[in-house]
Amino acid sequence: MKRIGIALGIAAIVAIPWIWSEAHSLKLLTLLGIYILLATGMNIVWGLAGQISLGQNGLYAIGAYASGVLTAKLSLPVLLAVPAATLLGGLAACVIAMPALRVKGFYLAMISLGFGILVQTFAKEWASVTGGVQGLENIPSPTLRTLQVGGWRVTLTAYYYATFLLAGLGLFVASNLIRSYWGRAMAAVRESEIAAAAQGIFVGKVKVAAFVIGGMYTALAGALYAHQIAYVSPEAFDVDMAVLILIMPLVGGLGTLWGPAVGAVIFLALPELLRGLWQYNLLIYGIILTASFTLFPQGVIGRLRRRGQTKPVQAVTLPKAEVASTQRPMQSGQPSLIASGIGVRFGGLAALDEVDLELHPGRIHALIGPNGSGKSTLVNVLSRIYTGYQGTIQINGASVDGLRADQAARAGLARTFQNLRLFTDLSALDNAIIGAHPKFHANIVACMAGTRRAHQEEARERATIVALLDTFHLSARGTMRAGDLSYGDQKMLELARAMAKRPGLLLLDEPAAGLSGVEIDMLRKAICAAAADGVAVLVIEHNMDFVMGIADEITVLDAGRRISQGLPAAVRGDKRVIEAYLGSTVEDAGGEPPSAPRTAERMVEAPLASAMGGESA
Amino acid sequence: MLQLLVSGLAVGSIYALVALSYNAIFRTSQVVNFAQGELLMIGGLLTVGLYTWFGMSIWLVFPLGVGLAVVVGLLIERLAVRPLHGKGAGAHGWIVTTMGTGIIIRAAAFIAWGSRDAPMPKYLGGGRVVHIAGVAVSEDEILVIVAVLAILALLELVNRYTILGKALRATACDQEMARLVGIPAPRMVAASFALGSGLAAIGGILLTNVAVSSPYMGIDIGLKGFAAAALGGLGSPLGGVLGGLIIGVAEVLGAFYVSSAIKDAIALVLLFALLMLRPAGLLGRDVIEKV
Repeated sequence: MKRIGIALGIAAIVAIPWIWSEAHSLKLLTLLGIYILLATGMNIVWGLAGQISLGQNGLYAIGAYASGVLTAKLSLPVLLAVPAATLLGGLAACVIAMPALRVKGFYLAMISLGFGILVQTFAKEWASVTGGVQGLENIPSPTLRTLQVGGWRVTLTAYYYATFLLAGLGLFVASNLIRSYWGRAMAAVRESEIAAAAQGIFVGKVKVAAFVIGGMYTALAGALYAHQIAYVSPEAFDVDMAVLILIMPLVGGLGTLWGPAVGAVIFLALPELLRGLWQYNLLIYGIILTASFTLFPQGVIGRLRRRGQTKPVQAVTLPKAEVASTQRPMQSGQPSLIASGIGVRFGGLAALDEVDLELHPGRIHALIGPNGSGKSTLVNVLSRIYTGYQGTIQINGASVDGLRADQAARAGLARTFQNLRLFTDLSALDNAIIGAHPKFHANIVACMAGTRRAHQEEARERATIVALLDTFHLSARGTMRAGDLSYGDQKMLELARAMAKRPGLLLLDEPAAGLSGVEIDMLRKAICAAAADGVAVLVIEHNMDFVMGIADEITVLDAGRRISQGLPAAVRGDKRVIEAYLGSTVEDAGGEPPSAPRTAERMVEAPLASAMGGESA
Repeated sequence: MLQLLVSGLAVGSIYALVALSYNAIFRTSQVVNFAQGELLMIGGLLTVGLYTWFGMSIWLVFPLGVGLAVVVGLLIERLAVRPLHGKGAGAHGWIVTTMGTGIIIRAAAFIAWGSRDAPMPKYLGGGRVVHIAGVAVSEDEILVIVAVLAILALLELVNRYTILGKALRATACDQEMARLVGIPAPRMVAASFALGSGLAAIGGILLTNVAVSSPYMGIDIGLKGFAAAALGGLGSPLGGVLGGLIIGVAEVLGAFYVSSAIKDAIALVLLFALLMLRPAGLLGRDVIEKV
């Protein structure tokens, strides 16, 4: 079906010059190819990676001026100038990407808006190179019959074909990118940067990659534009151009492959319909943007797809593979993780104070304590999400104190979050595959070109993950949006995502909270299986039945200090632990130590305990 | 040198006012209004329009111009911000929708005024030049600086000592919690938009009195005002004023000592440097994201 559609599209593109051969329509259609490139570039930056840039007009200008200056002033052949302009656009996009590494959202939008205006100002002021406000003239172009490639004069028709060839190539590359692990990493960054980093994704690198790729699309479009109309001037690249570039993928469907192309068609046609009334054109842009997120949050393509999705979701029909065993050599008694003297302060509050912890391969270590005692903080420190702390952390004997969260994940550390942090807009299967991010090695160019090796790697990992989802009874719901899964399934999916890395260290923050009895059984089996495979496990949990049932060792925190550590039986009888949970009044009430875990479980919900902390349960 | 400093402070005072108007909205709603520059533009142009078209007295024109801008601001809140609340559209939602309303305002201004520069009546008088300690200062400049300082002082007083100010601050901390204690949070957000639009309109009036104005001016001034607010630390009124003055002085010095061509780039370069070095701003505090 899809193949037929694409074939029909290609046939139409090839046939059009025979039907509409007059210069005006050819130029207009060529502009459509340019718009498709612009919209697709924006879609990679915004729709895929979630980075809003209002400065694409600047990159468009850079592409146009670079190719124009190189050919008109330096007489470089166009086959050299256009690629050079494209690369320059990618380079310039790094300038916008730089602040994106530190800030997000509206700061990025503002500074990119400024970038676009700055480029336009440059084009006006740097008259010796750009021609200033008069613009740059006599760019080799089919319109002037001055564009030559290898002694052959390029006609309008040939230029139209060349532009669509490049636009088609752009769509092909975007399609490969979206379906590759790089594209998934970009989507993960869009959904949650913290969760993405915990999967081993270097968030900064992914953002820069998205900006550079998007910048190259935009600059290529600029170069094609310059050679089409033979003349560029600053006002072609004003803020309204940035708005046009933004609005095309937005209306067509952000994050989809064909949405930007649909948007390009719509917004090429709009000014033609409102010929000459550019103020009204602008007014319509404004109304569309204002209404966009209330009226059509998924764009045209998203709308169509939503309607198609009302049919029941089918099970994933991918080849099942052997469950990849996580066999790893058991290190001879060497701890997987050693944390010593960990201290964290939030303002005046000592969240953690001189806490020591050791995790060993194949052993399950439980971390318990009243709300607000610093358990989650400790997990955030160990997984390198909180970077401001005292003390040292070693994983497998190597210090990780200077590492980023994604580097810790690549060193074998996997974690789940107390408050679920799934990539809710992605499918369950994609969530789990993103968990296996460190297992992918194909470089980004191979992914975009869609090489056979990249495809093979993708198929191999996908099969492994489908099998993994099967063990969590999730494969039947693999194509469902993660955010639409039941709460229990979401928790299981987060565990599956962590396990997809085949980690050496697994940190679980309240995995059993909110689960049903059946699900807790499944969770217990999964954790025990991981430990049996040699994974060192740390579990934070309030469900004492669960903790006492699986823990090899328990550490108890209270108000940021380690108050007890040892075997479950010893910890259960520890006076300081009982005091921490119930307060000292337990002595007055007869001092009866809680003998059964069930009592301990109830104790957690005691008013005293909940009064101690502000942590959300 | 001192002369440059004074004119820099006067230019900076306008930026400071725009920064204050961003902050008024951001503090309560956590929304950066991307139509802020256009609000300033429409406030200024409407005032000029009322003055030149109908020959009204300035005492009537000013409140009317500010009032109209407030209505526009309330419309922005109603159409572009409130519908997104709780929709999960995220931060990009209101960036796009508020920018959309800004474009509507700009397009409407183009339709009403054309893209030419509007004639600028010196309705605030202010042609005269006063000499203070050997520095020539025009009345315009004094007026702008005094007006901004007075507004800052007034805002701080309202914020700290009135129940309205406390309600606004409570809404800023946590909208849901504010509602629980009986503060009508949505109305507070609307109030902050009204305040922010009013401040922007005052900026527009002051600006049209000293500079050529056209429907184009909103983009530039909106960006510089944001740079001022970010430089001082978004949400900090004092920081915004400081940021505005720094940018104003830097622009005047840059134009004088380097080249007038780079003047408009200075605010952006400062903003860029800030975001790389200290994203929270000069007077802002870092926020630790809870995980």
